[in-house]
Amino acid sequence: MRALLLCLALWPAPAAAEPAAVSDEDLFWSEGAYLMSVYQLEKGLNPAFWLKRLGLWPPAEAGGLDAFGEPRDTAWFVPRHGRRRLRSEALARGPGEGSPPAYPWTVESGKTTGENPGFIARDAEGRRLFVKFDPPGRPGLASNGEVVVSRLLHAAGYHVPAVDHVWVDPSSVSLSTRATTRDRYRRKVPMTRADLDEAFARAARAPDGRLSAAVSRAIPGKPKGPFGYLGRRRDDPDDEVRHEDRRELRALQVLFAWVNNTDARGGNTFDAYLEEDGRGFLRHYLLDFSASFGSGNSEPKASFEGHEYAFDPGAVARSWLTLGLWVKPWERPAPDVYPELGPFPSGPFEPARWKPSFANPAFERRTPADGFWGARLATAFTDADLDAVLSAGIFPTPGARDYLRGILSRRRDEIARRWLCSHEVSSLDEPRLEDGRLVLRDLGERGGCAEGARYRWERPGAPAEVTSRPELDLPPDFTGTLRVRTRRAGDRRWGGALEVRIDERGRVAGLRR
Amino acid sequence: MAGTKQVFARVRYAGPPRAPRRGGAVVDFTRDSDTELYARPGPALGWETSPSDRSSHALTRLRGRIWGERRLGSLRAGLFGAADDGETSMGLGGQEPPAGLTGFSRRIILGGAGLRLEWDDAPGGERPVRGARLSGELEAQAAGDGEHGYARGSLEGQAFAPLFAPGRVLALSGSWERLRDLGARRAPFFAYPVLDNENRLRGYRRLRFRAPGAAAVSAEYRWPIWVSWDAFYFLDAGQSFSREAELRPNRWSAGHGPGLRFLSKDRLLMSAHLAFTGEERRFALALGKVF
Repeated sequence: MRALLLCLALWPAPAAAEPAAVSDEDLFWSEGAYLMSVYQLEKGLNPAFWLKRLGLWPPAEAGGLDAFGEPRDTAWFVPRHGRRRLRSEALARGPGEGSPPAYPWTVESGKTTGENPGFIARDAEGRRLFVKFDPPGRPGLASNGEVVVSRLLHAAGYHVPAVDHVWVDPSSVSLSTRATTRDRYRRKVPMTRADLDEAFARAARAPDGRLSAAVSRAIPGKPKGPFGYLGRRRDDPDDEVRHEDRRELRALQVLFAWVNNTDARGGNTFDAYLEEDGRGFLRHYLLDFSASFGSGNSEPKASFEGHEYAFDPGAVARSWLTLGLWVKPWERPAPDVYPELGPFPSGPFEPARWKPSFANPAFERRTPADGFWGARLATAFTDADLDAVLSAGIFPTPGARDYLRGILSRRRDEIARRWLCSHEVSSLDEPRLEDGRLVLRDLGERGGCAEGARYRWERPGAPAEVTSRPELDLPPDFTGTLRVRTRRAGDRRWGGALEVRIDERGRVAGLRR
Repeated sequence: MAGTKQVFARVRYAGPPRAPRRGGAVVDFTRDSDTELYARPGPALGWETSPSDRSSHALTRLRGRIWGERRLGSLRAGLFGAADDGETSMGLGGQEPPAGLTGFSRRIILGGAGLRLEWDDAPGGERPVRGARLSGELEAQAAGDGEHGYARGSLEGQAFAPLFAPGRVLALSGSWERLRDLGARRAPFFAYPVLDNENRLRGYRRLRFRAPGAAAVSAEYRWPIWVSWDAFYFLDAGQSFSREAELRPNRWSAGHGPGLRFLSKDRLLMSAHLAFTGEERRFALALGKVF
């Protein structure tokens, strides 16, 4: 029997089948209708939802984490700037490598999804390019979101395509004889010069005739369609955690709130199949950030975006029942000062209440621990880092870049105050042992609440100890778990606990919030 | 109406909605196998009657209008030609109709022309927040039989006032419509203006008030509840009459209730309301414009 089990254990596992390609059709309406009506109804009929809402039941914490609460699967997330600071050049470059796109370009197909005009082309070096134009009169409106937010997310650790802003010379763009597009009935038809000219006509134009566009490089690997924010891919054996329970996806709510990227739909995700070291796997990408800041893709953002879903039964019911006496702050539109940014309000920002335009199950299941994790990513960017990232954008209007930097800086600080100065979750992090002393870092310093804080330590068999710094002398050969809570200056109660596990070899072996 | 088959069908086509219009056409077909007449013998159908006086008739009616118009700033002036083919008979209810009901149990084909003036100073399409609108019509129609014909005049006004926050609007409306016999020709009863759940006096049964004259006023408080949805609470009041001297405040009927308006980017798609009156409460779902 033991021999049989041994044989089974040593038998080479069959190679995982390559996942099937999922249609890349943008399921705009069906996804939206399901997530904003049926899914919300299902949620409301689940008693557990209300118990959690009333605080009578603990929220479901994220899965797929290591002992330190970090996502395990690098196909989803690879920590970068938050772990080891990237240099300004790397922040400005983003995920892109190699030389800029080289003319002439040959258009191979039209852009058949999304609102902005564009096309798919190959440059002189045979690289595939996805070209998306800014709307007329607003160079930078959509492309600034693409280039800036893709760089921020890449630096944070997400997989994103390489996107750059390019002033496209229409005279260097020709049409392949085999180019296709889709007609109004979604039928594949040959692409004509008139189709291309129409795309040019709907683009922002510089005085010299060049067109403002975001140009994405093709993602390496075989395209396998979107991954979505709900459920798992059943044809991917590595996909063990439901997407709405992945910390890196839940915490995206914090990052998207920061940059006001309201188009957080499953349709804007992408799986690529890659083979490395003889093993095939899916890498999961985030796409399309053109609805960031004050951009609504092909036009300025509507004032409700960022505050409520495109269809939000809760907000509708509240407006109806209050007979219009509840005046939503966003009913008075933010000023649209800079054409390249759209109406990006500099006023009050409540990070935890921010909503994308489509309901997102992962965002809705975000817990305080996920919020902390996302805030740690966002607040790792200093003002100098923001300057480096913004250098990739395009800001024709004087003052626009400083305005955007100022808003991003203020929203980042608001995120820090909300998630790193909260009672709900400990913001102590980065544990290390120095000569028998456990030293933690209070990330509340990023929210300006670390000053005057007190730390209460509890460990088995010893009285609780309070210190004024997040440091504690440990007894020799201490192993086990100790808990530490923080009390902010002016507060009466202690906040959420952080459990630090020290193993037999005297190392920090785990953190739990 | 247990045991009887009741059919009410109405098909309406209005010409291309795109602005600027220079003309258009409307065709309206109605087939009603059990049109109720809330009538007692007397000069007027409607205002002084009660549902217990119910009798019925069947009506098949095809109306059409074609018009051309000219726009001068906020003013629009148009001329139209109209035709009306109506036939009535005893309905499924079977009771005798009121005595002296002009045009009953006959097929009458009318034709005529008219003039329409519209003044629109309320920007915002189907969702105005300020301004006023006025419209008036004069029309004459006559039948080839030499017995039937009428002259009709109508006046309608709307005013919109913004309230304490964006999208909160007080909408006021008033309308007056009057039909008169055309010389020796008598006006058929089915051409009389109507006040009911779908016609300016919400909360009352179909054709509840029908007489040669109708006056109504309405007030709505509207507030936005979604990007293109408005909620409202309305108060309607109106009276049908045969002669202006019959107009009395204590004879006005009233209704009130909540409702919702569903709009697209530039059109009113649907309106739903629940109306309460002294007689009953009624829910209605209307496609297109109510008020």
